[in-house]
Formats: sequence, C-alpha cells, structure tokens
Amino acid sequence: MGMLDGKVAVVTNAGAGIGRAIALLMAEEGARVMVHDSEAVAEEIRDRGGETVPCAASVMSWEGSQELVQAAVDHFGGLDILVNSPNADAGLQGPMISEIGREEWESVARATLKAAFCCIRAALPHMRKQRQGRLIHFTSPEALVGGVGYTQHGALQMAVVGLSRNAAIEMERYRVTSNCIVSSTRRDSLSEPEDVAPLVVFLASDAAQNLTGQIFGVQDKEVSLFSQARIQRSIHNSQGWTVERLSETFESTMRPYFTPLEPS
Amino acid sequence: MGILEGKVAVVTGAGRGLGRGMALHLAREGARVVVNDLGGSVGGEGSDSAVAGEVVEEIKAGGGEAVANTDTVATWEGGHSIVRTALDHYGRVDILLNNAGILRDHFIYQMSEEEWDAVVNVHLMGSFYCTRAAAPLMRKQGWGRILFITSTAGFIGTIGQCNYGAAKMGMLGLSRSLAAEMQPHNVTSNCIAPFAWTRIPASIPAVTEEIKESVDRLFKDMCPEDVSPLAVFLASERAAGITGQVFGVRGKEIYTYNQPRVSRSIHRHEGWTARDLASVLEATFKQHLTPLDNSITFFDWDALL
Repeated sequence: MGMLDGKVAVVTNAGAGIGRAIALLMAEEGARVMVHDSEAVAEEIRDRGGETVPCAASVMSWEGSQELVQAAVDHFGGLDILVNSPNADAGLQGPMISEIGREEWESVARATLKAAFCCIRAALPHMRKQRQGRLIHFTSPEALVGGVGYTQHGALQMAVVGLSRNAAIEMERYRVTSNCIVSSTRRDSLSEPEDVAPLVVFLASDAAQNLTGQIFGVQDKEVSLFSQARIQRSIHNSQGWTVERLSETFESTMRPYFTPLEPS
Repeated sequence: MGILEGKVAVVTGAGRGLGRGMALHLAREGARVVVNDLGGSVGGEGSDSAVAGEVVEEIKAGGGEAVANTDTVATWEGGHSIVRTALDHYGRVDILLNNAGILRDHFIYQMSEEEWDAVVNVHLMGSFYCTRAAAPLMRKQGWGRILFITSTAGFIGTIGQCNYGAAKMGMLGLSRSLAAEMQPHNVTSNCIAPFAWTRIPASIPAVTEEIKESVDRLFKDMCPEDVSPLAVFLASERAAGITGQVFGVRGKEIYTYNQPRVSRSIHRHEGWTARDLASVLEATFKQHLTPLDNSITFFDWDALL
C-alpha cells in the first residue's frame, strides 16, 4: 500500500533537484503525478511502473497554471496535491540591492511569487469542491534569516510564506492544508533532494490532516519546525508614546528582545 | 530644534491616514519631506494630484518644508522618480518610509489575477522600487533609515487578503536582508505593523456582524498619531544600530515581534522516510505548532488606549 494511493498530484519544476525527487517518491507511493516541465522525469516514473503525464505549460502565467491544473483534472479526474517546488534558478544568492536590475527583479518575481499564486489559484477551486487538498510550498533559510545578496530572494520567498499561511487559514474549513518547507538553495547545502522528498510525501498524505499553516525545515537528516513571528515583548505608556519617551526606554526594554542579525 | 533637522525624508502614500500622520510628524521634527501620493482610491484606481498637495500645504502652514510627488510606487520608473524628487529639491535622501498601500480583498479561491497584481505591485514591488532607488544614495552618504509599513495580515494571517498578506510578509524578507547588506553603511531597515483607523481597514467588507465588530475592535479607536512616534524615533539618530527588526503598534502599546527560527528538531541517523515521519512528527511537534489564529482571533483582547 502506498501512502498516496488514489491521490492526484501536480509537481511544478519537476525536471531536476527537489521537484524531481518529490515527483519520483510520490509516484512510488501510489500517486498519479502530473510532472511539470519534464518529459524525462515522466519517463523515469513510467519505467518504474508509476502513472504520470508530463505538461510543459509555463506556471509563470495565469493561463499556464490553469492549463497545468486542468490537464491533471482531465487526465486523472481530480487534484489532491499541489507542490510548488523551488525554481532552481530563482533561489541563488544575487547581487546587492544597488545592483539589481529591473529585468532581473521582474523575471524572478514571476518565477517565484507569481507562479506560486497562479498555481494555488488554479488548484483551489477543485480542492474546495472536493473538500480536501494539500498545498506545499518552499522557502529558504536565507530568506528567513536574511543575508547579504538576498534582498530579492528574501522579499519574494517570504511573500510565499505569507501566502502559504493565508491559504491555510482560508482553506481550513475545506480540509485543505497549506505548509511551507524551508530548504537551502545554496550549492554547498548539506541536504540532498532525497532528504526533502519524504517530508513532502508525509505532508501530502492523509496522515498529515492536522498539520497546516506551519513552516517545516529539512537539513541533511534533520527535520525541524520553525516558530512564527509573534509578540515577543510589549511596552505600554499610559500617556501615549512620544519620541522622547521611546528614546529613554527602547535600549533597556526592547533591544534585549531583538532578533540579532546573523549569517544564515 | 527637532531631532531630524537637516534630514530629508520620502514618505510614500503620505496623502492620507498613516502616511500623512508620519509625514507631519517627521516635518515637525525638522525633516524636509517628499509627500508622495498618487491620490487614488483604496483599491488603487484613479488619481488626484491635490491629495499630496494638501499635506504639503499643511506642513508648510506649520512652518515645515515639503514638496509633493504624485507618481505611482508600483513601477520601476515611479519609484525612481519619487526618490529623484528628493534629490532635485533637497539634494539628498536620508529617510525612506514605504507606506503606500491599497486593498483588493477576495477569497483566495476566487481572487482574480488583476486583484493579485494590483496589491502585490503596490505593497511589495513598490517598496522594492523605492528602496532600490534610495539605497545606493544612502550607502554612498553612509547614513540612512528605511522603514516598511507591514501588517499582521502577513505574519499572522487573515481571511480574504492573501494578496495583501503575501506582499506584507515579503516586506519582512526584503527588510531583513537589506538590514544585513546595509549594516556596514549605517543604514538601518525595520518593519512596523500598525493598527490604525484609516480608510484601509474601513474598506474591509463587513460581510458579517462578527467581522464588523472585530474590525471595529481592532482599529476603530486607534489613530495614525499612535504610530508616528515610533516611526520618527526609528528614523532618527537615536535609533542607531536598531535594524532588521519587526515592531507593532496598537493604541498605547508597542511590540517587538520575534522572527521565524527553528523551534524543535528531530534527527534520524539513517535519514527519514515518509512513514517514519508519519509515526513521529505530529506527536513530537504537537506542543510547538503555531496555532491557526488569524490577526482578528489573535488580538482578541481590548487594546490599551
């Protein structure tokens, strides 16, 4: 028995790396997989006895995402799982903010944030109708922790975290879960794509129905849970705050509770 | 003598609400201010060049110095033109307050591409374009203050605002890496998530009596003037070294928020299989999960006013 028997999954950017590992493991666990953007990976799945169809539509547009999801629905009769795998070119350390060009900014924005929204938006009406679904997104430690050369990546990948959280809240009543996985984009990262795929398969399975709106991480053989931004410290002034009063108190009351800048 | 004497500030979306409140306060402390506002509707439609001009007149009437700009933040050219207005009139830019915002609420499964693009383009792309234009100047002069007006709709979450929530969360990522890059140059970058009764929350559709009550409780008695002291403080010399943080303002309360970090880990020498995770993960992480609150249920107590 596979953990995903009977499920239909769409895996974006499935041609290499994390996306490919996810598509292969999902097929192995019984899912019928719509492999986005790779004839070769679809063939690999078929060779291993899995059921799959490739689709080359571009997820960077509204129309392409609709086409991808519709293809899954037409071929397999529904859609249970959407994995927005990381776009291999969009996560790398970039130039400092002063050097980022307009073209570069706009194309990375399309490949990451816009693509994530378009795919979710295409998938959700189907999941809502069937009162069941799984959304799985990716972000990176570099985006969460911040670092030199990551303004563009951080802005767009943190937006994906916000999108995932809002999707979880809105879709809870329809039994659709939405979670984010933190996985390093660095070439010197310790994690292999095969380390990440089991967590994705688990989150996509019925066993993970209660897990939603969370941020999980994978590094090497370690799986982790991330905290989320909540009130850490609160100060109150009965007369209301002025710049003077803030200047007097901030150093002693607030600064000890800051999140220090640190290398990711 | 004001604490911002000699400084030049750019405030986007400064024609009304929070932006206006912050622009007036910055000017009172001696900053010369570029009052940017397209003068559009809450949904980002139309334009009215008089809106920014009125705030400029108000600042001048109080003895301050200001100039209007009516470009949109939502394009590369617009962002650069706003910053250029500061250079043309005052020869420098020391403070950038990314405040301009619009709303186009819709359930996530019904949101149109246009609703998504319009909101993301103003809040996130717009913040990037203005910051992209100002950061090199601040870096060169070795001093700067960049502020992002974000929202709990991003990091706590809400209903019907996935476009707004995603864009607001994106600002946290932008601000954080910007803080790291600009630290050697005495340029700080911080986020403020405020509650204030402006036309933005006033536009949230009161679909049910419950939503109306929640919106009233969250925003009604809170004014832009609660928020501006923190913004002015962070924009001043006194906030040197305060960077990469996320603050909140609610009535007379000011918060600092933590940032997402690993809270719990499980390790298995031979690596994890999906089945192993199914038997271990939920039970182990259960006590550490972040509840699925939204920003209305999370702030389910009266503000200190």
